[in-house]
Amino acid sequence: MTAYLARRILYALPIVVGVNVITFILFFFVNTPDDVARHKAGKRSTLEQIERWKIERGYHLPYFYNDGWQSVGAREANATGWVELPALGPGPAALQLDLRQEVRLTLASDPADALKVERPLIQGSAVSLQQSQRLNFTLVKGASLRLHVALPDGAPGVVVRVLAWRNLGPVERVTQTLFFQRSLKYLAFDFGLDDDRRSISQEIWRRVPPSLAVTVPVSVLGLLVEITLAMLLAHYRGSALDVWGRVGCIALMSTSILFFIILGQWLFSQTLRLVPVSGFSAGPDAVKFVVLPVLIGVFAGLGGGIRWYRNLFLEEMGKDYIRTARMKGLTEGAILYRHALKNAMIPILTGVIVSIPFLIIGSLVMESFFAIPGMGSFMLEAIQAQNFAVVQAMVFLGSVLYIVGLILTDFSYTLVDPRVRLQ
Amino acid sequence: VGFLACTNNPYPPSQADENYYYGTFGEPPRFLDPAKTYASDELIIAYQIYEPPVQYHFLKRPYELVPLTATEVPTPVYYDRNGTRLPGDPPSEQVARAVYTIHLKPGIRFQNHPCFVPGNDDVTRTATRELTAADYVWQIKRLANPTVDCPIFSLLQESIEGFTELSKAIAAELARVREERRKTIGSLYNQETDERQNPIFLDLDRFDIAGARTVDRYTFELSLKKKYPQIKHWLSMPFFAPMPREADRFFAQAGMIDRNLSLDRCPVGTGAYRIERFDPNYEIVLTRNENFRDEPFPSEGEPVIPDAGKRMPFVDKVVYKREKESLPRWTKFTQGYYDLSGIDKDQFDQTFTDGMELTESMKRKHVRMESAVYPSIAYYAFNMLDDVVGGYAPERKKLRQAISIAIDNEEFIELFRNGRDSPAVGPVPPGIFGYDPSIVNPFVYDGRCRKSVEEARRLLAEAGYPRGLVINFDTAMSATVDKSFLDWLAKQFAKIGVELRVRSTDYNRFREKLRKGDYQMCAMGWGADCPDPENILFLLYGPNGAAKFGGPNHANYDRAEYNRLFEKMRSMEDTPERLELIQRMVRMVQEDAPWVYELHGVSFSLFHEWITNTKALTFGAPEMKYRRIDGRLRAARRAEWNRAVAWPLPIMAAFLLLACIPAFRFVRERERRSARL
Repeated sequence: MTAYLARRILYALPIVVGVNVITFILFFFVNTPDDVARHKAGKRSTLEQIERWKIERGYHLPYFYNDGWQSVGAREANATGWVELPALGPGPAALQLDLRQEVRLTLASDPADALKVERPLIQGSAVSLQQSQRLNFTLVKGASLRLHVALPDGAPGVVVRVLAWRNLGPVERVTQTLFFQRSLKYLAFDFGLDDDRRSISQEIWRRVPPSLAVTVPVSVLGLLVEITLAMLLAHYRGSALDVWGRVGCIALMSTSILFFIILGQWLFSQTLRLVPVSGFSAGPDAVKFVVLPVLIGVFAGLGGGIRWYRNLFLEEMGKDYIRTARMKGLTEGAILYRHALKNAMIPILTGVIVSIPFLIIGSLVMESFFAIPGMGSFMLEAIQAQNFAVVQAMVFLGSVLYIVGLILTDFSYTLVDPRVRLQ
Repeated sequence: VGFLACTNNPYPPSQADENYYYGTFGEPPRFLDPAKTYASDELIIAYQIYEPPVQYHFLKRPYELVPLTATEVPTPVYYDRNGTRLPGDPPSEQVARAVYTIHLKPGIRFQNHPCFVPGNDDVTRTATRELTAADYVWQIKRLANPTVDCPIFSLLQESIEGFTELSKAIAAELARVREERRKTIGSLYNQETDERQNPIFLDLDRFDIAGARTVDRYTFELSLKKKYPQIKHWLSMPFFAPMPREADRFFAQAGMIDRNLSLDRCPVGTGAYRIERFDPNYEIVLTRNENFRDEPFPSEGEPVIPDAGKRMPFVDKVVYKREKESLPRWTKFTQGYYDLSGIDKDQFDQTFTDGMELTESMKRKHVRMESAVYPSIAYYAFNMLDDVVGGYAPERKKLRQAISIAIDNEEFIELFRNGRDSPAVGPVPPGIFGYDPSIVNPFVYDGRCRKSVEEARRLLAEAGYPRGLVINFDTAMSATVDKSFLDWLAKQFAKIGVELRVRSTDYNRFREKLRKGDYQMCAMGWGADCPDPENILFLLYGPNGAAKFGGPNHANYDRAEYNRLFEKMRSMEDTPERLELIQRMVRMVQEDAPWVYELHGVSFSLFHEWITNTKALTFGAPEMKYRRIDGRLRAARRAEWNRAVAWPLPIMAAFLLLACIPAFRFVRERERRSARL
């Protein structure tokens, strides 16, 4: 058993890392760090602020491999004049220039003898550039830099990104990357801070209990009601009860949960005024807030659940041991509850136990309409806000929970079926 | 069990007739740090907590700045390049330095906060101290701190003396500390992890800034490197609220950020309310600041209110609940559980009759409606750099004027906004100096009537397109979700034979197109930060062009005459001469039509009878301190409106049992039936 568990955990590692890499690639394929920074920096942001926002959060680092060059700041020159560049320490550096027409540039440093320039830059004298390019230079000591940009009247501005080179060892070339800095700590379940400097773990801990307050009762009550009704229909298969029961199930499956929510709120909160429309409270007071969402959650899930379990029971009812039981003269109730239910447990458990870890993920629609401060909208809001750290953390959590669910399911088989042994 | 509670009251019984205010919020506030708070949903909270030196008068319109923590609204003293004082209101070219001296009222105390307990890391132990001028200077220095991410950094950089130098000095110090730590930790150095465990506290007193100086305990000087009269409006925003150095020191302790303890969640100020609970996903509770000074309700302005002269605030607690969906929010408002509500499209018919009067059900509940025009402008921008719709030649102007006539904004407001917003005739919205309701747009309207489609067609033909043309409309709107609007817009263009091609894209690509000037038309909007026309007209200032200079002028409008007038107007006080300049600029952009002026937003708010002093402040303000709640009346109304109807419960239960009887009989029959062979 222990060896099996260890093996499963080891199998899980590459899956989790793979999921992380795919999330990372997908996210930054759609949104570049520049996009994210512009989105966050607000309506009055300048290039300088955007670059600084990235640097403060590590978004200036290369994705997977750091060759030593990295941005230390960016400036925009919109008119002829001097532009103050970020101060730099000694070592190789470069200006990455984004031009849209010919400009004349002069680079100067304070102190003046700190700068050792290479072609095409010549210290202190202007150079004409016609297209975007990178200009390398070296600082022999720490200095502040200024760049004089001569722009023709009405010409578009010039974007200057200042790069500094740092001699990185082979390990640092991997560790000083956006992926590594963001992902390694996840293996210790440390989700770090989101882009607004909030602790993601704290946020998750705060949101999980309200979600559980709804999802656990919905799940438990739903299971009990669904299995009971499914057994009833299976028991009387082909009868009028079964036919109308199935019709009812299909009607429930075809109705949007929104309809039940709006109907429930109108009936129980607005007309009968028995429970609050929405809201939440910690402690025993939570009962009055969750009773309606739980009721609606159970009711809305009945259709699919009953049909699924009914099919499971029907499959069992056709087996030899059921016929034997009938021949022994057992009542139908005894056959169903004592024999068929036990044997149908494997597929039931597969569905139920794998879903247990997902109870903490909550329900988006339910939580929105009932103002329950749970996990339901956490991921969606993060995607809308382009909050990469939260998206990555939630995908990581989701993949871990899924793997945990699968392992738990395997263990549960040993409990319900003595023939199953985990090796 | 839940139903047996038999009440739809979401609040504990102990709050029944308390003097609490109940409001809602949709989007959770991201920041409450005064250096970062800028979005409207953040400012609603921040204004109640922080006190900048000045504020807008609650009752006077047009808006007038009055002192808040300052003894008077500061007036600038101007100096030329030689340091010689310039008398009066000199032209901006002569001004090399503008100095604002701000005197504070003595005896103002901060809200109780754990940062004032020396050596404290426990949020439950709190203390206070007196506000001093140094707290304002500390905050101005914070604005320059690159780790703080102040959203108006560039604006302050351009105006405050020594701001850039201070920012560079702080950045250099940060870089030095980080480099040392990187060397110590080695290849596994992770800046975020390191600074969570060992935050960097920067003692800003070690850094000097030429533009902010403490003169004495209650006086500080703010000096600008140019004439910038709009600074007085920024002085009414939380950016310039005081921040005690103890707060930065307190939150720079290890482990604070991992517990989500920062100024964004546990702010400290001198305002009428302090934070009691901040859970942005659920509720935000503000409670009366025990140390708030004796500040009387204003006695001047309109309307005259019986509370004039009485000590504020009147409400003990302010409770904001998060409601993501409008339907439950609206239901709870009608049940009396929220004191006020906006009106969504879905609830409009329940609220207003066809004659825009409140419906009987609203009147029966004594609900009152108040509307306010928001100082904002929604517009369609033409890209003036585009070969087809851009340019300044007469035929290009005619093309844009024709489209301006064809887009029937009045119809849009009627169809999509329930007739609520106000059609725009120029860029300057109501409530801002320079707005004149008598001004019309003679290029789009004949008097008050929109010009005919025939007139638009004639202009289009004169522009060289008698058979119409194709125009691209770039948007981040969804082609499916916003289909009705986009179809309507295409129909407006079709009226004059123009085919509109909607190019829907995601938000990032849309912004990229704007930055590159790779579009013909798009829809944009802007909400003014303050009642100064500079804050709107800068959207058409040439050097703010988006494509060339990365600025907010998305139309890339660039007229030398407009630019010249703008440069003169922006540094003037509100004089008749300034008004004339603004009107010339408005006329110029009406004729050039770089925008189709769409609308100015109007907000409609509904208030219950128990909440008073609700005059709308469209620019951020500490509005909660003025509001009054009659808790007893509210409790009585809630009880009257929300009597539980429990009798259907036993009937429902009986009905369920009855429904089981046929099933039970059916089961019994089957069990008793003899086997069939």
